[in-house]
Amino acid sequence: MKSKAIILLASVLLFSSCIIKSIQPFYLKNSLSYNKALIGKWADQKGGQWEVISMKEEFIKDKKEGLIFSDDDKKAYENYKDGYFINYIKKEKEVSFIAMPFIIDNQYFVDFIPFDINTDAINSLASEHLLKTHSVAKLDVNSDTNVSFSWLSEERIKNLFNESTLRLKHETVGPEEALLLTASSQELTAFLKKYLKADIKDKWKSSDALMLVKEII
Amino acid sequence: MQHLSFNTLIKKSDYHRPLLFNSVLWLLAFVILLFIFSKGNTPIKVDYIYTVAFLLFMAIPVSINFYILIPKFLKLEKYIAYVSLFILNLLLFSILSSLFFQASLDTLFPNFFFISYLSKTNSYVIFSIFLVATTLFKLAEDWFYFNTNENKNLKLKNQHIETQLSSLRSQMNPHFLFNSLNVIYALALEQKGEITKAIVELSDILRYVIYDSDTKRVTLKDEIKLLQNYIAFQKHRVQVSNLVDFKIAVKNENFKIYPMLLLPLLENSYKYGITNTDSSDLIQISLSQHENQFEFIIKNANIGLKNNLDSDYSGVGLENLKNNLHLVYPKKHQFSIKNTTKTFTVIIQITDEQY
Repeated sequence: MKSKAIILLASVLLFSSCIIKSIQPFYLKNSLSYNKALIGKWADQKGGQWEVISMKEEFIKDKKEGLIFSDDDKKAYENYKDGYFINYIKKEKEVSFIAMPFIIDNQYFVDFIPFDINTDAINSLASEHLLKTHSVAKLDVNSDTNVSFSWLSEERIKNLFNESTLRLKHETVGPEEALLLTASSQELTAFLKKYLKADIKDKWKSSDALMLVKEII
Repeated sequence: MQHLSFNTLIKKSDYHRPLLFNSVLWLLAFVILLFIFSKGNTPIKVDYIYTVAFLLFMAIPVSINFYILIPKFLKLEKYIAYVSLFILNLLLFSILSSLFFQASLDTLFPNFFFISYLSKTNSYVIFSIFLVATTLFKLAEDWFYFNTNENKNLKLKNQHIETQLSSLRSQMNPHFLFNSLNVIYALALEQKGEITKAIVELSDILRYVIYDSDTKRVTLKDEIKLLQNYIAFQKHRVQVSNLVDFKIAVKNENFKIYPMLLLPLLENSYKYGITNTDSSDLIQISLSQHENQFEFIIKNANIGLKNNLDSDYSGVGLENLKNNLHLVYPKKHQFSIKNTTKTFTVIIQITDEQY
């Protein structure tokens, strides 16, 4: 299993500034839907490099190499076999995610969770305070070589809370009063389903939207 | 007429107030559910909409329960049918809720997000709790009014009994007074010296009858004293010596009985059981008491006159006595009359725990 991921606090903040974070995954097991089209190397419009690997294939590869799996590894395999392992490199900083593709009302989504945080780069006490959270992005496969991720924006959700039109379990944490969803995966799925249909202006538009183009080797 | 008006009063005392009951119930339900749905936070617009919609939906199974199931099954003691239909009602609307409630809300309010409210499992639980709680609330309301009515009816019944007893007593006293005055009148006519003694005895009797007997219970001691005074008084009228054989076997002289139960029977014996000439027409009285048992037996000769406790004079008689016993000692007394060709016997037996 690849575990070379190095994550810097700055890169965490890159995403944490605008995307909504959740304690629980945004998907339910029965909504998972593996999409082979995402496998490969991609480049986004902001200079980021993406390597998307199938978790299942990675497990098989490791097994062939004679790696012995612990019970935790086997459990992880069961949980993430339908997902991806993603390496994201930008400005020579590398971060890895476990990404789980799922479908709600014929729309692909990908749930992201940081896989490994290298605490060498940050103060160890500070690293003790970090919590791995889930984020969700709408995945649009525009063509075989072009996909886009539109993360669910914290700003949009805050607006819904401010307008008193949303009841979803959440907390506001830290001095930045960051929004942290504490709802169950079932509730998050129900929310995404309703959000897809809701008449909200620019509901998927955010500065974190990424257009990925496949690299031809 | 009195009985009719009493029933009318009972019918009038149905004080169910459906508007008040439903207002309190649904307001209470709204407050509790709003608190639950807003997770203890300050309620927001979406919470109000969800709570009102939920209550509107719940109004259907609750109304079915209140106005069909409870009156037609529970109140008629058809418990199994009621429980079965209650569960059916619960399941039906729980399923309908899971199928249509959220979908209807989403259609009606496309830009409102009713997310962290009821999961499927929770909706079954909330439905069950809500239906059971409203049923208990309804039963509590029924019990409240039932209890109020019951107390009101009890008061009315007591009033009714008091009126009856007072009426019977007020009829009895003049009857006794007229008889006594007749005796004094007879003594005065004959200008007998013992008239003064007779007046004092009558005075004692009247004091008891008018003042002391106007209580719920008197002691046996006082009631025996009355009978003895009466017998002494009657000696002025009846010229037969040792006419009355009065046997007393009382363990507790303070045993309490309803006043003036025995005197009418003694009066009756004097009036219909003796002649002024025949000394063999003995009046036999046996008065006994042991623990909570009281027995009074009075026996006189049946000399052919109608033993009817002077019904011609006062309109009261044995029937009055029976009524009194029935009202004062319901299911705690026995009243029997043995009327043979030679003797006329009346037996009263009372079992009273309040002795």
